[in-house]
Amino acid sequence: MYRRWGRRRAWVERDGRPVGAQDAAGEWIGADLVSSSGESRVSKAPPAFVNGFTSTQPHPLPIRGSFHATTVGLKGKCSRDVMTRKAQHLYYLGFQRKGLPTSGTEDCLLPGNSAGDLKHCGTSNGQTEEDTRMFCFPAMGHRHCCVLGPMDPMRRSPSPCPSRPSSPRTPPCEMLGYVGIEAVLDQLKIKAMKMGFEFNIMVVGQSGLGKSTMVNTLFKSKMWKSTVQGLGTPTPQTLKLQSVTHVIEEKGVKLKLTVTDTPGFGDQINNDKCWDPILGYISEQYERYLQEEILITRQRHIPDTRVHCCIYFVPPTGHCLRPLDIEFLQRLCRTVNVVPVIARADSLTIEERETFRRRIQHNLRTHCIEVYPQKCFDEDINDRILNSKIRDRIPFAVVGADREHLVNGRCVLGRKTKWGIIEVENLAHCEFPLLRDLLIRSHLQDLKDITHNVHYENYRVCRLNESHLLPRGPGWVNLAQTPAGPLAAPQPSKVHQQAQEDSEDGDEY
Amino acid sequence: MGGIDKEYVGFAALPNQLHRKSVKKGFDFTLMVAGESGLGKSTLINSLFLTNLYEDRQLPEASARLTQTLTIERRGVEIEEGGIKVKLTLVDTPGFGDSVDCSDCWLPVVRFIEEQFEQYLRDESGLNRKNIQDSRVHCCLYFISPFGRGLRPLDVAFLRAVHEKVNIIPVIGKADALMPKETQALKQKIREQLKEEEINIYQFPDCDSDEDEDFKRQDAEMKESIPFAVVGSCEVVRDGGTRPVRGRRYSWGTVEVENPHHCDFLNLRRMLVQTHLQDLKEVTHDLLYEGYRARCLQSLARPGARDRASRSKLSRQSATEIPLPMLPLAETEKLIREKDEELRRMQEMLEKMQAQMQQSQTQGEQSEAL
Repeated sequence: MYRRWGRRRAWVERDGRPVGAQDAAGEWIGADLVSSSGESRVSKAPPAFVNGFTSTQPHPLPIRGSFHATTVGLKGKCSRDVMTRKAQHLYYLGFQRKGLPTSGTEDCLLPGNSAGDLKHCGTSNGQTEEDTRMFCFPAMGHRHCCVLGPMDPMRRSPSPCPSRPSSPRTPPCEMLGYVGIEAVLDQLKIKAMKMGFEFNIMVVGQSGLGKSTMVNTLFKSKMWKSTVQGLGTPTPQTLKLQSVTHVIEEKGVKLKLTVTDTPGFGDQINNDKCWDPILGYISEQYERYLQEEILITRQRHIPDTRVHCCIYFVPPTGHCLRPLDIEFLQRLCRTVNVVPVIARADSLTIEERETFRRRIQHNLRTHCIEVYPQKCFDEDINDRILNSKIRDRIPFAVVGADREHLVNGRCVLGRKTKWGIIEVENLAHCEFPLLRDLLIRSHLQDLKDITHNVHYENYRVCRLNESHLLPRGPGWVNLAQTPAGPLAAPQPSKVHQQAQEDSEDGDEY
Repeated sequence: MGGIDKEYVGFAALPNQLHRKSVKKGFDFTLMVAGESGLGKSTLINSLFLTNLYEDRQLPEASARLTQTLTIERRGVEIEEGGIKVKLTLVDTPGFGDSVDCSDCWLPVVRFIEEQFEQYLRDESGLNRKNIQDSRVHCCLYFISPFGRGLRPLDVAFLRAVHEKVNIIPVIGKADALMPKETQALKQKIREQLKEEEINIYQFPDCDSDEDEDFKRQDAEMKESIPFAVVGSCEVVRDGGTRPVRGRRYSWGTVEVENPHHCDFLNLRRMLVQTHLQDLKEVTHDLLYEGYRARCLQSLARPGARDRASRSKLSRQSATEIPLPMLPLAETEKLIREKDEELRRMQEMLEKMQAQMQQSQTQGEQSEAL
């Protein structure tokens, strides 16, 4: 039987700062409850464990009937602010079982372990999704010091712990009292806000599929002047990429957004190799970054112009992917994160959308095209669960609009036709909110991380191999002067110098 | 009574006779649909004729499309309404505009149209002309994508290749993706482009001045709304209290196919089936076919071309086993006459020369005698 946490308050706040835990008897529970023997200082109940381990049981799940200090103690009595801060470094490993608190309720903060059930009730407490994202969801089996585990907000998964529960014999981190590590989060936040964020996206698709309108709708600002149907410049004969950069600000957070458009893609009679300029542009940005990175005296913050995400607009034919789509996606998925969307989805009914989506997913699988979020980059089970849900709905059927209309007294963005108004932000009408959430609200940082850690690194390895450069040890690049290629041109002297130094140091040549 | 009889001849009943004969004979009509895949062509055809012509269609998979080339498919159906039979043949062009490289993908279509003309030409010039099957394409509905900014380069290339050979009616498919202003702008842009590229689409004949105002207004409206922005659907939507309509149901409303405010489907149907079917056939026969025939025969009149053509034609077996006469009789006769004239002139000259020679000889003999 689950003991309501109320009887055993895990946290006591004093002056708004969490101090420790006191149980009903007034005894301090604190982290030393996580004793090596798994014994509770307090009760004679079967081996208690705060984090769900018992000494006797290898299984990490709490035994039914045992008590757990939920250590979350976030019930209404805590003030919201405190809760937010606490929430960031606290959690309980509530594994959902019968009788245990169901996730999503106000009591427990966490993920139920039922497959696919990742609701964090943080939302029910009014926290924004950003905050809940800062949570570290403990994977099952991990042992956590529940009390004051400071969280690195930049990482989404917990620090690499062994997957099996460590033996209860290892001494836990005994922290009595408040250290203040959690303030790191605030520092990071302040720094990030000062520096601002950068995000570069590219929109690819045939003309008229609503790319510029979609960008305007996504960022709720007129990035591009979207052209009315039938007017505007004729499609150019060759593909020319155009970039536009804006700095937009929301609640003190600055975002430097660069959007690259590709007018003329797929519009000619012969579209063979129309993807080459796009691949060239992406490689060029990687090259630029690489050049900056290999300098001896680097800038403090390398300007990041690499394309973090490429949104590919699939025309709503309703049948399946066209040969052009397949050729392009196959090539692009290897170098950049690609998010396909079904453009102008207001010409498809809900059933048609579903069949089209299934067919596209089938086509993508058949041709081994890995779109974002890629399966192979899921770090842990939580990622996998979250991303599977997204993968199930990709490609999103979106509609873009930059005009507002009055619907039931509300002002909404939409398209007005004689038979109704299509609301862009209404999930029943189109899946634009899902796209926006994916790109901006939940996975923006992840897109940048994957671009930096995977795609850019792949490019770098290829480039270095090409110029016969051997990496010497982790993070150390020995650059010899290449006879041809862009590496030679910019700073040959510096490169050469470093090469000389290296050769002096290393006798392994 | 007698006076009236004197004036009344009775041929006012001729249209009725024509009507009866036509009903007995039945009509046949060949319609071609062309355009990229996914523009709602088959749905529209099914809606127009209220039959499921595409029942057994298998859409090719994406991997199959990678290597697909344009094919021409023909489907036939007999529709009867009010005692009148129409034998409808539908020519479809799957694979058009699908591949990455669509250069010259319209050539099979052009070849097909010309083959039908050629077949008709042969039948017409043959001996047995009782049952000529008219398989010429009477009308081509060309579907333009509503998502583009007007005509795409592929559209222009296709239309240029076929506009002198078939009646073209441009149509904007899936028009429910557009807002009213967008539809107007797109139509305007397409009309401008057609004029710029000098593409001759089917021109509706002007209605007579003695027609009533209503008809004139309708006619003007119809002409204004070319290219037709259509939505097709065969599903009947029952919206609670309202009467059932054919349409597409979305979560934000229902598009009614037969509502003139929603799309131009009614206009297209009226024009294609109700008012101008016969005119399309006539224009095909009188204008396009005659143009083809004249070009074909003129090219045959040139000597080199003639020999080549005759050889190729003789090599193919025609149904009547008679080699196709190369030139119309009038032309051969002209040539023969010319040749005859030449011969005659030459003969005259020879005779003159002979006469002269004889004269000179006799004169010479005479002078010798003297």
